Amino acid sequence: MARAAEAATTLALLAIGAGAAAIATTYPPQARLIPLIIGLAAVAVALIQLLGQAIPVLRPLAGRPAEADGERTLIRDRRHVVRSLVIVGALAGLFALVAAVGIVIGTPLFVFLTFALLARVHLALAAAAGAAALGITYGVFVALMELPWAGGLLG
Amino acid sequence: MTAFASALAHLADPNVLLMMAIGVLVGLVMGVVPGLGGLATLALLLPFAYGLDAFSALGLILGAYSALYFGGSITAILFNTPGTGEQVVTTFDGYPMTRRGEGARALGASATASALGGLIGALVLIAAIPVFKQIIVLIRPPEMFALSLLGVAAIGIVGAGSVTKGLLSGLLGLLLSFIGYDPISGVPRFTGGLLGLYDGLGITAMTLGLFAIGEMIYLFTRGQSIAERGGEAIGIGRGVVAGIADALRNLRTVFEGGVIGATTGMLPGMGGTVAMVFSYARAKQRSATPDSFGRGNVVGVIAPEAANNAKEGGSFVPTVAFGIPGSSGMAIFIGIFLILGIQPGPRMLTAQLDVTYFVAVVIALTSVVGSIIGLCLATYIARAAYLRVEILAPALIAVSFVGSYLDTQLLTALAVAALAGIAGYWLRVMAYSCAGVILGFILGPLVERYLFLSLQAYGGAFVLRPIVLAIFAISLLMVLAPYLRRRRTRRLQVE
Repeated sequence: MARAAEAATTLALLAIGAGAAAIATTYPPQARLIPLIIGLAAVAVALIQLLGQAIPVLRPLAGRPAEADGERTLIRDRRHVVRSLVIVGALAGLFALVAAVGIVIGTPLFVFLTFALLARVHLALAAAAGAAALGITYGVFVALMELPWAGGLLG
Repeated sequence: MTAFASALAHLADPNVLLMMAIGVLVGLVMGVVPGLGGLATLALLLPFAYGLDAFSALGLILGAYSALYFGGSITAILFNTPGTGEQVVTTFDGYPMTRRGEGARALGASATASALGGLIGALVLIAAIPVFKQIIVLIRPPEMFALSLLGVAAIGIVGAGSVTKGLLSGLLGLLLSFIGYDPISGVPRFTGGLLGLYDGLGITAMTLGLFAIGEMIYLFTRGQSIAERGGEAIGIGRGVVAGIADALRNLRTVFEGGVIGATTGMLPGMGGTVAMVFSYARAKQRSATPDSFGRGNVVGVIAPEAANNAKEGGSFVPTVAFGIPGSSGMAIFIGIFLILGIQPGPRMLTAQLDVTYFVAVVIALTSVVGSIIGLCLATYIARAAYLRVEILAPALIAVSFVGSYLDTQLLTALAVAALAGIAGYWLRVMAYSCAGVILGFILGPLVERYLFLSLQAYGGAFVLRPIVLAIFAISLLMVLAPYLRRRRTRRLQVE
């Protein structure tokens, strides 16, 4: 599975390079030169990496094939999968909170909820952490930068 | 001598000393919060220039500016969260040291190198001003392009799972840097029509995403803290002392880093990251164990940190000599000088030479004081590295989001930080180099801008300029050095 993931990653980077080069050709000459060169270079290097596992002379450049080891193991166990989903969900949740109620309120709310539900600390401690976060966001955004304290879609 | 004595007399003023102390504390706090350092600090302190006398105001603002870089180093080392985009180089070895339970040692080494680097930068400022005018006329866009390419070549130094992965990391960073308005033609590139991307992805969101959020995702999925309890082998206090001893044992690295930082800082528009990368690359090349860099080699912390503070002294040179800002921070300083009734330019080398000496001495003094105070605070902050990841990860993700939002106040910045975090996690698992990505991202605009200017002014023949050829040769050596060294080692083993 690690080998497939490596190949997929390399193909994704190849696609990014090819896409960037293709899009760059639609820009005026001054704007297209460097992105075109870099995009084509990325395609070339990605191809070397893909072929490097199979062609001996390219192997010193491409490195050893993917192996299942502590670093590269993608799915260690069910707990790993659950924790991956939880942390990505938390990221998405923070983004949604900020989009909904603004950064000044959204961030402290996120801190309170994650401390209470994820870290499972005492509610009073979670509330204190949330209050501290509110103090920081209010101090930075409202007091220092004079931004409105209520923002987002609901603000 | 009279001007120097006059500068020292101003330093003896209790008001000036008080403002310097306040500035140092403000700078440390600002530096610790990602996204709040650098220009934001200067901008927030600018109004105080109106209410204070010139030397008190300079003491306040210079104190903050010198100290904030060490504040940023604290979080870079302990939490893989650079305070400013430039300090990403400090994370290469500083954070692995923290993971190994040697965070205090890394902080001690960083503080000492920063302080000494600041001293070197101040000395270079004083020494270089008389000769700077003769030197700077030799540095034109072709030389700046060559230096930018040297920075790109250094991407290969930072290491990845393989040569191709290192190159792909750097190329990905370069491609990402092209998102947004092209500064040359004004054409929006790779924005997909999204207004929030017209100014690019943003260095703060990218750095915090790739390094801080990416690392927190990695640790959380594995249920690991940054450092395990009991991992600090000799205690935090003694760890700091060990780090100080490390820096004093590597004075040559400190000196080279300071000189590299100061001289690179003198080049307008070169940027602090380039100075730190050069210093890091030089230290790695000189090392007997280059493969240990990127895995927690203390010299990998000392070298960039010495360059970090030194570059600020260097960036004052063109500001003072010509009134040309040596960095974006210096552009704000020119405004501060004007508010205080000080005209930047040749007058600062003649009628207002005491101000120039005052600036140099304050940079030197506040670098040392900032490092000492920062170190005292850092020994408490270092304990946070042992917190459960279920507490640390949400806290650092929240701080990273706040830092990313500070830049543009757009939701796009948060989306960039989040996506960069997920990408950073994936790149790390696949043994790519996030450091290579961010270096490519920072250097991309420099390479493009100076290539355009060089072609406009000199045509294709710019590559034949002597200094350009010399820098190209150094770039080639930098890329080939690991292979040449490995071949020589293999040959020696066979013999």
